[in-house]
Amino acid sequence: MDIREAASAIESILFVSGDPVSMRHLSQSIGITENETEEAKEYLKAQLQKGRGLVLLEKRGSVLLATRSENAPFIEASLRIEREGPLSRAALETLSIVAYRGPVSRAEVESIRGVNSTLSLRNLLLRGLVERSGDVSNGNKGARFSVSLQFLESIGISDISELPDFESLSQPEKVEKQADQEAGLV
Amino acid sequence: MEDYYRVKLEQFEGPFPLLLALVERKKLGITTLSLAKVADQYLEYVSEREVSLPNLVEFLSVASRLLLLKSRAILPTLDLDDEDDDLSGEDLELKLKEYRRYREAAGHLLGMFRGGRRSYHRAPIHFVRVFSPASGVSAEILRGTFLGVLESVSDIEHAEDHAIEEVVSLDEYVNLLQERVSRATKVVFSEVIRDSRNVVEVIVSFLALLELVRRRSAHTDQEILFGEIHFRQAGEPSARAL
Repeated sequence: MDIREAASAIESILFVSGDPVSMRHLSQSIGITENETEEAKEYLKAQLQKGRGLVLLEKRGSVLLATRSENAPFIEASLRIEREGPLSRAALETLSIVAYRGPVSRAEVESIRGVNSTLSLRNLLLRGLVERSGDVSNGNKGARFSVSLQFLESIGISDISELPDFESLSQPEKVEKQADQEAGLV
Repeated sequence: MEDYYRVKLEQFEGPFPLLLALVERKKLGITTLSLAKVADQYLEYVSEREVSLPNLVEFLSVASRLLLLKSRAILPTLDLDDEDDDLSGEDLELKLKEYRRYREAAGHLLGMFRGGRRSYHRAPIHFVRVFSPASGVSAEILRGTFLGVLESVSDIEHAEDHAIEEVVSLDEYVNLLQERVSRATKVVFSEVIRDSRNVVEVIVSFLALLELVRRRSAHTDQEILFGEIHFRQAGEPSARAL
């Protein structure tokens, strides 16, 4: 099976799924190696980027076929979708920390914000923007949080690394360095 | 000062947003010195809301650190004999800078949310029943099967004609078989049905045989399953008995 056939198979599987599909499941379904699946996925992604109405959203080993973010107005008009109410300032701050630093524990979020963030996290979980990840066997104590594919969808990016300043904000050391530089300018 | 009063009217969820607001309104950078400078205003804000602040512990914890910073700024020689990093001004300074970075990022996220550029994914298809023919079934086989079904439908349509054409009497067959058994010492069933014109006649022949057995007019034996059926008139000694 060549890369085009594999990419075509992936596109079809993602179309009928509707839900995120793991790369492992794709490779097993098509009967190709995980490396081949990765290559075929990249090929499909490149094909879709050539002005198609669909894009591939990716998050740690899972992919989801979704509509191109530029087309949101047409879809919303077509399906008469009403946008959700705005996030509170606290929830938004918590979300930004989870997005850039995820997977993070609640304690890490609270260390950065300086206040208890249980309610904000719960609110974000309910909205499906954030999900639990990491060691579930350890109960809630081991729970770490990261943003969901729905989050990527809701701001119209296909990968978490597309967030502005992702490189510097995702690493604690760089954040501090950058902060020092800014302080020097003042 | 006017700016400070605006700060006083605002609601702050935690100590960091308040500290940032105080420092920014004074157009100061985040340094231990600037934090020491806003310590009084911070304390004033907290003391006025002492009862109602939702995160009072966090506000007070920062307040104590600010007091320490201020003491150090006023009395540089002051030695409070604290080696605790948590109480050092540098720690608070770094924390505040880090917080500010993510608060800015939150602003970017808000912009992206409001930007209206988002994706949608389709709802999963829930397959209730899937047509799953046995492996090896091709379109050609399906076509043949369908034609077969059509033929059987036409058979039913003509069923009446057939019924008129062929009336098979079980009694007639019983009599024929009885006669045959009485003539020969041994009859082989495959010979009986050799001249049958169709499957109905075969079935009726077999029913006739069973009828003879039931009437105890014939004995039968069949050596192996699906093997030849031999039968003879009842009362004749069997081959084995001889």
